[in-house]
Amino acid sequence: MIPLPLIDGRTLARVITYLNKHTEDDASDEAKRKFDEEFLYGMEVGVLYDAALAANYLDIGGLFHEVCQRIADGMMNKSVEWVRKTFHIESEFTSEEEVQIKKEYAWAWEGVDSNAD
Amino acid sequence: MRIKINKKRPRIKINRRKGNGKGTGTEEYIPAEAMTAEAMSQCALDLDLIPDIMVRLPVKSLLRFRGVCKFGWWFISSPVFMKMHFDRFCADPNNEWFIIECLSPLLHHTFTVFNIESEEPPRELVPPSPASFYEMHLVGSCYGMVCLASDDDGIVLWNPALNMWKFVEVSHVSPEWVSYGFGYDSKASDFKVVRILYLMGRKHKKMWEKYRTRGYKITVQVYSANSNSWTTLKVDFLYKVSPNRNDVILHGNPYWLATIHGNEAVMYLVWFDVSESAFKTVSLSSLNLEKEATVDFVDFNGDLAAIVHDESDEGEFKTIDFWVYDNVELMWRHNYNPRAIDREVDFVCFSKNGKWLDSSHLETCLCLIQRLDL
Repeated sequence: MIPLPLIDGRTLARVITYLNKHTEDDASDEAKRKFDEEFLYGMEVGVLYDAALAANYLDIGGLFHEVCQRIADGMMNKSVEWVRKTFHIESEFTSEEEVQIKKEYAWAWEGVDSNAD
Repeated sequence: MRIKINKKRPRIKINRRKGNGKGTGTEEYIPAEAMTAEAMSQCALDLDLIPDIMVRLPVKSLLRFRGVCKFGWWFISSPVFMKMHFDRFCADPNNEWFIIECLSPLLHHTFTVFNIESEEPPRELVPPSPASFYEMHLVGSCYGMVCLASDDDGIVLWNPALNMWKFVEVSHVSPEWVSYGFGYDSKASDFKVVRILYLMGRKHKKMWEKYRTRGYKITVQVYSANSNSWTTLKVDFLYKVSPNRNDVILHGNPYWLATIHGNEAVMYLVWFDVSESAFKTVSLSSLNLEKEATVDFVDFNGDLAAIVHDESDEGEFKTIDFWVYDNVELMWRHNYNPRAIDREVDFVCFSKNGKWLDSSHLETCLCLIQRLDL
């Protein structure tokens, strides 16, 4: 028995499902891509994040890159406040500094998702 | 290539693996003020994952997330991360940004960017110094950098994504005409600008007598962004190139349509290899160009391509031929069948996935449309 202290059971089960598909002899690249799409569809950022940690720890390159891309896709249009809230980050910037940062590249704040979600 | 953040000793390291499995690394230390215990102690995002997620985000998101916390501000602005992000996005086949140069009714050069794969509307770029920028014409763009030039004022290297720019003075020698080329030396990570100056012979009588050319003394100067200096190239440059700018930039090297002094019936494609600092030529003989034909050169998915327009007597475009250069056989291959078109086609450009874009796709009057890596 090999203890894996950093990965919980549910995440490990997901990783094993992924590995089973990707190590099938007769699975084409197209089939694997389709599987990844369905497998990762709708996963919340928290679940994706656990999968990324697990894939990083177990050094499963394909899963790691795929999940990191999903996390990036999910946070692409989100606001600064959403990132702080989701990842529990405190900001040390003063309000004047924040205004200055926003002013520098104001266009980067256009079209950002509202914080309703 | 992975960036690792060492939590115990605050520094980040890029690991590049060589064939023998050993890694070479570039290191950068995290400044103390960026690694505040308060901000990151509660952070649910493992430091190991931050680089691999951030490198996948577009520039717009990164500029915004700089404001999340001080560590984010430092990390996203660090040269190590910026280079990694830059290399990744330049190679991304879905990076489909274009920059368009237009002439306004006041004859000002205006610049717009748009992404053909995105639903976002085209965005007009506001240059930081409009007074001088509007007089400058677009030389070209490659690897995210735009080069503008004005014979009177100088050249500007402009990164539209970050809206950072650098003005470079040019030597004022009153040339008869000048042509600029813009390139990127990926080996040295250096942007280069080539300036080909044609000085009238009678103003330089001794030079004219020495060179016996058609009255031109040709000087070639090369600017390196890394060293922020101009070098005059010691080269016998006997070509007469298109005025103003290069015809196309391919793999970071500028190309010009050219003829040789004394034999202007034969055309060549002259290009500047920025890594070797040398001019080379591509023969156009296999294109079988007719005398009245006009030819545009484009980057077709990394290959050199030529679009040959055959005009009728009324000056309208009759047929259009598409050729791609075979680098192995060193000849041009006919790609599409000639087809009649019923509109004037200007300044064709191709996206990375082979989509054809020309002036008819946009309602404004174009000077130039080029692919831009953002």
